[in-house]
Order: sequence, then structure tokens, then C-alpha cells
Amino acid sequence: MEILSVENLRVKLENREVLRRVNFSLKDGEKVFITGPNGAGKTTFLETLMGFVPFEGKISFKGNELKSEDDFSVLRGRMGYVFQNPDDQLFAPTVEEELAFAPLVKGLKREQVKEIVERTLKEFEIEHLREKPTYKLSGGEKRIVSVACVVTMDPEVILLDEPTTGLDRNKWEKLVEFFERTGSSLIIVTHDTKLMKRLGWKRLVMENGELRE
Amino acid sequence: MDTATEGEKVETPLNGEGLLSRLDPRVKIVLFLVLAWTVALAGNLLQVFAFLPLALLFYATAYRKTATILKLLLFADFFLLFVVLTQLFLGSPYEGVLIFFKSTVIVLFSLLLLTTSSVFDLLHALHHLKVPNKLLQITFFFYRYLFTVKDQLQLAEKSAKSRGFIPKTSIQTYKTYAYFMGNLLLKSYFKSENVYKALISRGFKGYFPVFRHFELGKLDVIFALFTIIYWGVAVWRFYL
Repeated sequence: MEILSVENLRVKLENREVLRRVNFSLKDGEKVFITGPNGAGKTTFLETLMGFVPFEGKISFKGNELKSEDDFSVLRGRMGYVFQNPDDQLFAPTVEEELAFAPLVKGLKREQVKEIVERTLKEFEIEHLREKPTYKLSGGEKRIVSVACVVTMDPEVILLDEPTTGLDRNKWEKLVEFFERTGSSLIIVTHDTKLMKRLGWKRLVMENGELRE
Repeated sequence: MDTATEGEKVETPLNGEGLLSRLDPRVKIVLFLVLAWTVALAGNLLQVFAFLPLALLFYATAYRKTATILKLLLFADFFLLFVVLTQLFLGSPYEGVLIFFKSTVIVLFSLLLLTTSSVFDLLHALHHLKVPNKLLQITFFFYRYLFTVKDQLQLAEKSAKSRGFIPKTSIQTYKTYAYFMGNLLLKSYFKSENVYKALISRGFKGYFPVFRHFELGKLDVIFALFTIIYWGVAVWRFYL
């Protein structure tokens, strides 16, 4: 079943056409890579899917077209976004509060939130960082926590913008294992050839604002 | 991977130190307001000194941080000296001394009751004390990103120094610092946009939910009762 579809997507920023008639579709549980040169429009594409950038064309989630900010705000509860710079993403005072943020906003009960937080801390092996202020994490830790805090949303689709940049071998392996086992659909923007080779998923190339296989 | 050490959790000078840091911040804030207000209303030195034993008792719970407490107290007192000097020149030295001791005792109370909790806990407690949410959120984000601004400034300085920049009294130095400031302003603007995106991408709806909540314990009740009784006796004996 198609979970996300994009038809004739065009984005113009500061009089420059950043995305040109992009067509794309993602099936439930499907995992794809998007690669391409710097400035090709990869991050803009992810931001457009999240509704952060004005666009022309059609974006649909599970067959429902997303037009207004209200549509996108509903979508954001079901689609997670891991930012290119984890420093932009982490805003809570501690790792634990960071992980609890989305489930609490969703209105889940405290016991449920506690269970989700504990499970995620364990899953990413970051229990020891529980009380650490997010601004004091190392670069690699920030990256792992930025993925973990999206996972606690239990999203159907996760958009990840260069998630393996700056990770050591151990953390890289942990993240790859997560990508393999998660049931969520994934769109990973990356330059990491080792990652693409290891997982062997469909690879799309973004060049000059055009997306091709 | 590093582990979160005690030092890393510290955000305020005395956070994590002694008995007072284990108390509910809501209780400490209310008691601080009552004590500070009473000391501020004191009309003579005797009324101020009536609260000094209580402040010293609080201090005893954090005696291991004596150096930090003294350093902060001296910092505040340095500014208060100017008040004393002004009063001296105006011909009312007693007023100056009174203001000096009043302020010192209030600063001591604030150090021992407020800075023994983290900034985040204090803001959380203020939320329970019905301080407007928007104000607290602004304060929280201001505090949270103060470190980022500091890091960015240090990075820019390092970058300039690594390319041979030596600060001098020269146009080039002023220009460089102007670049730092301009850069910081722009980066802050873009960062704020990204943080906003991060918030809404995770469902932010105008309030900041908190995972860990306070629980009023026996220790809090005993501490509050003791302080209130002391306050009552001091007011009855020296104020009325």
C-alpha cells in the first residue's frame, strides 16, 4: 500500500527553482536512500514533505492530499523527521525529557510514556545518558538521541537527513541495526556509500532539483 | 560513551549539594519569597539579624561549598558597597549598613534555597506556582540556548585565532568582533527557525510537557513547618 506520494512537486526559494517536478512514492514499510551532490535539494525535499516549505504540486499521505498547515500538523504526528544538524533538533533540558516530549504532547498516559522512554533508552543503549543535558552530549551522542527522540513518536514514516555523519563504528552499527529492524518506512538522505552498500535498498539520486532512480 | 557525571548535571552553583537540593523546589521558592519579603521590610539591624541564624543553618547543609557561596556572596557585596558609600556621603550611614545586611541575608537565602535546584526544576516549580507559561517558556529557551550562543562565539573566536587573529586596539579587531556579532545574530535567527521546525515536527502545541514531576515528601513538610515556625517566632519577637 502506498503511504506517501508526491506528484509534480515544485519548490521555488529566493527566485531559484530548488525542486523541479519531483515525482516520488513510498510504500508502507519501504526503505529508500536519496543521494546526490550538495545543494541538489535533498534537505529541501524532506522539509517540503514535512510542510515547512511552500510548494506547488501534490503531496498525499495514505491517499489524502495535504494542502493546509492543519493537514501537515496532523501528518507530523505520524511522520518523524531527523534533522541534518542534531543541535537544531534537541531542545529539552535532559535526554529523558527529550525522549518523553512527543509521547507527552500526544497525550499518552504517564505510565505509557515511562514505558516508551525506558524501551527507547534501552534500544539505543543510552540509559547512561538519561539525565545528561542535551547540550552537553558529544556529536555522536546527539545524533543517536536525535534519532531516538523521533522513534518515541512511533511514526509510520521517518525522514532522516544524513543520520550517520560523524558516528564512530559502534554507534554507526547500532543505528544501522535499527534501520534494518524498524517497521517504519524510511527515507534516508545520505552520502554514506558504506551504509547504502550494506543495506542495499532502492537508491534515488537528486540532482539539480530533479529526482531519478 | 561518556556517562553523565554529577558535575554535568549542575546548572546552578549549589545544585545537587546537601539536604536543600533534595527538597521540593516549590516549597523552597515559597519559603524564599516569605523570608526575603520579611527581611526586606526590616526597619533595623536587629530585625535583619533575627534571620541570620536561619540562613546559617541552611548554609550548614551546604558547608562543603563554602568557597562557592563566599565567592558569590562577595560578588554581590561588592556592588552593595557602592550603596553603603553613597549612603555615607548622603549622611545616613546607618541606612547604608542596613541595606547592606538586608541584601546580604536575602542573597544568602536565594543562594541556599534557589540555587540548590536546577534552573529547569525552578521553572517547573514556577509553573506549579501559576507563573504564566509563556514567560516560563521564553526563560527556558533563553537559558537552554545561552550555551549554544556561547559555544558559537567561542568557535568563531577559535576560527579567527587559528588564522592568526590577535585581538588588539585596532580597526581590524573591532571589525572582526563586529563580524562575530553579526554572524551570531544571523546564526541565532536561523537556529531559532530550525528549533521551531523541530518543535512542530514533534507535535508542539504551545506548551512544554514535563516527564518528571515533583512529589511533596515528609522532608519537605518538616522543612516547611520548621521554617514557618522560625519565621513566626522571629516576626512575633522582633517585628511586632
